[in-house]
Amino acid sequence: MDPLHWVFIVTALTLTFVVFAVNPLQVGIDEALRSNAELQAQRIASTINLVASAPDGTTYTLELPDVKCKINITSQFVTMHSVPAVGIELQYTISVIKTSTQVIGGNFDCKQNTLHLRKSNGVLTITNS
Amino acid sequence: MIEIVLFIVRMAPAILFILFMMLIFFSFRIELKEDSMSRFNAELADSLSSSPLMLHRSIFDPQKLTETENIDPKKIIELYAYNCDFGYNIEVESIGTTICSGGNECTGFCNSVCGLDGSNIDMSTVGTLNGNCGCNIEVFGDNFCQCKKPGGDWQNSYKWHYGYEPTSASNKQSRAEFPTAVGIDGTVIPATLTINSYDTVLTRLTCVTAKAYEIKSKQSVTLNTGGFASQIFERLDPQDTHVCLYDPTSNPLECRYFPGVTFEKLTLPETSKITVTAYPAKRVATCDEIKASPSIIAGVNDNVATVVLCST
Repeated sequence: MDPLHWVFIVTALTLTFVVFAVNPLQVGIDEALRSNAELQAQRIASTINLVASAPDGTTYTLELPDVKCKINITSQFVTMHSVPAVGIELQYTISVIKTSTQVIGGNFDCKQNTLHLRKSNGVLTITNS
Repeated sequence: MIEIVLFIVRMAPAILFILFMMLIFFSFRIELKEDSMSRFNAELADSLSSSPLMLHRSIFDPQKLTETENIDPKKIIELYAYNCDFGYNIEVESIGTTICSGGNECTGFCNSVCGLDGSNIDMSTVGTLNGNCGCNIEVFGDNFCQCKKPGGDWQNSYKWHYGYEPTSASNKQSRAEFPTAVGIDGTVIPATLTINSYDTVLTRLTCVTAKAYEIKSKQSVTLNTGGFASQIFERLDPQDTHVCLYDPTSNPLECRYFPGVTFEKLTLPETSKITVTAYPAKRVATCDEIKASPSIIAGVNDNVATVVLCST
């Protein structure tokens, strides 16, 4: 067979492979990001920091990742326990910026889908309903 | 035989192409850059802009800045916005100078900038040798007010600086500037807020201790401790507001504002990389006691008496 034929066949096979591999790869990347405890904890801590310094009356709804995880929020820290589809449980604790705004957090489950943040009278209350 | 060799030679481009495609495919990797310190700087600026340091949102109150700066003689204070992961210092500096024709026009400036009032202002010499407040006469250009804070240098703009200042190398550090303003005598003048944030051995030690104390579960952190051998992390500050890394003669090498957390001192070993585990404990204990009797470790419903730091 002529080398050009080989190149053509290999290119065709590779492109077919790439086309079918992109979607699973994308799903894998999304899953990795969703279940990344560090990233998700940072996302929550950032939201708390921003709402805590916002004017009274500010509310924000934060969508939680669609993975198995638990979140503990205290006045100073956000702890994320994430159980990825494959692999071991991951835990990450990050500190929020402590200001004169009091933060009332608690324990939350990612199955609850959203966190509601409301700042009122200098108090930031985080609930899941 | 010659035909086989010729076939391989003719196939070489195709084989190289296959290898190239394989290289491209298998070298695919995802790199996630979180850039957490830049994000922290922006969020800290936002937190400070609504803190008690402000007259109005994003307009600093000079009196509050001076008061905060003077809380600690060494100006190591992280007040109104505190984050245990990163230590920081801030500098607020006005843009431009205050034009004057004589020293008595500068008393307001000296009061606002350097906190000088009737009790400590000294305008005996207009210049830079004696006194602490005056109008600097320029040969070319406008004269401008300048003053000197106790123990500080002459300054001709409104400037405040306080916060954590590491003396050792940082794992990570970041600097960011934000536009802001200072309210002076009923007017608002433009200024720059500069934030320097640091991730160091001391910030990691304080933060792992704070996490164990508040979350009531053991916490670990990895430290690069090359150059920190025999330094002691403890609280000797009688005010209970600061912690330091001390040398063996109890001379403070680097300190950080860290109130409200009780812990047992830790002597850093000579190894260049260690893992420090912080245990929330019900009573004062040694690392050996903690390992032998895990019941000493406080649970979620227990009171934490102290945090025991163990290195491995």
